[in-house]
Amino acid sequence: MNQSRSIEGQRRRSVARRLIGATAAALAAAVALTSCSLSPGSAASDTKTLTVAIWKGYGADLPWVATDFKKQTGATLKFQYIDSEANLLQLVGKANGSIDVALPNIQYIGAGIDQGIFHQLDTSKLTNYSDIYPQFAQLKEIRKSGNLYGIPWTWGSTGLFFNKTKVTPAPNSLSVLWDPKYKGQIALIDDPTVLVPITALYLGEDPQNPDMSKVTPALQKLKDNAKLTYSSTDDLAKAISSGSVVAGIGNADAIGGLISSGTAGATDFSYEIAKEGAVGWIDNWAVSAKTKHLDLAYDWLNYMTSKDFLAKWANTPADAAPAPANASVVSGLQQATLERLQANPEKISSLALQLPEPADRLQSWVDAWTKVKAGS
Amino acid sequence: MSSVPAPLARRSRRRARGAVGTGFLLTPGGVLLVLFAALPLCALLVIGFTTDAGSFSLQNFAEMLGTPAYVALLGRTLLIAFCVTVLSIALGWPAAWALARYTRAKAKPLILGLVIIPYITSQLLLIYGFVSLIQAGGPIMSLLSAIGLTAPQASIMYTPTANILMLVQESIPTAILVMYSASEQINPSVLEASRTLGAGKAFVFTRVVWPLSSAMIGVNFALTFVQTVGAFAEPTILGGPSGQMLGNTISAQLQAGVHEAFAVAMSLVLLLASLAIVGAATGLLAWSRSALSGVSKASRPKAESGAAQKRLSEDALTAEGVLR
Repeated sequence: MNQSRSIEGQRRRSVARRLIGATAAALAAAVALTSCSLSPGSAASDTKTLTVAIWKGYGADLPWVATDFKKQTGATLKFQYIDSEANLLQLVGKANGSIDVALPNIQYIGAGIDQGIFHQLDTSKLTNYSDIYPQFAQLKEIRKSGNLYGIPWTWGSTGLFFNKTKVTPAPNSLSVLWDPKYKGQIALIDDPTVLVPITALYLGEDPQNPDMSKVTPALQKLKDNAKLTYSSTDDLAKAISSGSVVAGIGNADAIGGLISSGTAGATDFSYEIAKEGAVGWIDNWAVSAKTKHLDLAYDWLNYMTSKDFLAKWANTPADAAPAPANASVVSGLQQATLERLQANPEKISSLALQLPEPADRLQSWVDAWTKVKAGS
Repeated sequence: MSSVPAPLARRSRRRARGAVGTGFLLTPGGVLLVLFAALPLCALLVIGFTTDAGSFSLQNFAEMLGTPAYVALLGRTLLIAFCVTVLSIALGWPAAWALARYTRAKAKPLILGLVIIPYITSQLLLIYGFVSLIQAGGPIMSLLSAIGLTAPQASIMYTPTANILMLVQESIPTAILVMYSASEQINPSVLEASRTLGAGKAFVFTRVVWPLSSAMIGVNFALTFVQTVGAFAEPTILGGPSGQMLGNTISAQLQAGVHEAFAVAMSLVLLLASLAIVGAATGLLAWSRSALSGVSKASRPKAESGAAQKRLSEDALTAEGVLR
């Protein structure tokens, strides 16, 4: 989910016209963010209000959630919307307890734990902890010195999609993206943190730390095979409905959304986690270290990871839920729903998770992709 | 005659009030400029010359200018912006000329209104409108394939050509508006005089119309070039994998969240290169104005003293007005 959110963000940013103007605005925003913080305790005066930091339109702020949660706990909800993961860490860090719970991604939660902005979780108070996929719950990224700081909530992947009628037989390998047969008909998500690991998976390299001298030429070939690189799902939808694209790399939830919303031409498409794997992400609930509503925060974590919430969310196609991290919820879902959510648990082991990478390594990925793209 | 000192005193009061008024008018814009243009620019300079470790360095610039791919991209970006600017002026000027000279006065506001519509339309809407026209299976490709000119899938969408066409289309309203005001400023009697004196059409254009319009061409060039050189929405959506401009690389670098100083260095290089090109173009236009208009250097002081005289006479007129 964070992928498609950040893509929306990219699109919003791309509206800005002039480069200098955009940079200046970004700097001004940075100055504004650092100079003013949320006033301490502004939301905390009411003991029965829980403040949640989350992406807008991401399940937790559905209208029935507030009703259900109030029925269970008597507490009202307040949302602090974030526009990036970095923004989430900054908000929680500066809120001084006026934000109670937040949803950091697996790539960013570690930085928050190191900054001491998240509360250590007591697994005995987490009623659904034992139902979370152990592959997720045991990840070292949500722990420090063995202690848990986040509970996995949802997961998703970015991988192969293709047109079932035009790409035959149905591919199960990423190699279809490099196939000269489909030259000029491939769409690539414009994100080096996806394309480099995908290329590494295709080459059989370690997706977390691939040999860039092998990845870069393969990236060049991938670009040469591509019709377009896209930054917003909308741009991909246009390319799909005009018939310009038969396969590509995309977010499971974005592709699923296009298919289920009946976008012209998209109904022939299918998303698959290829045999080499896909890039994966996990969103986790964490409690602010300075929360004044610790019990209510646990109530929220338990409600969010419960069957009550997750199954209802998953069964409403219009709400575009990603795959739940709760194994018992998933086992209760129908096969069609599992396919719509791309929630097949067997694929979890083949995910190359987007984890925090050292700045130098990330820069080498960005460099490789921008240089490949800058060349004509 | 005894009233002479009085108006002088009034005049100085008037000037003082004028200074306060001028300050009042300049303050909001000036404060905004300093806050949101000058300060960020200073920040850009500081960030661009700093390493990730925080020490002064030229490393970011060396990295950019030492990478052939980025230098080539810079060159391509400047070339695209230059071609788009020249093309939009070349296309907009005849229309502006016709609008200023040969259009009925009643029709002018309507036509100008139509020209302004793309201005007040969201830029993304314009781009997506263009996309739906030119994309594979869209109206243009359907028409071209129906008359057997091309295959329905052979759209220019996702190519550098689509990007350049879009940028030209976006720049044409500016060209028409600016060149319209340039064309209106030319006194018809000057044109008539040159014609009655036997000048051919080409001669009238190069020796009369061009020198009288070149200042506005400079304005148009600066406006359009600066706007186009930083484009990144158009190349992102329309340009395809090989149609990127430097703006895309800068935005990708910023979004990656690592090594932001490198993105800043790239934008500073782009800024300097753009300023150089706009400066060179404006200089070239000024030179062409004096070279073509026949105003020789010797006669210039005379013209200047003429202007000074004019100013004096204007002052006299003001004084007269005050006296009355």
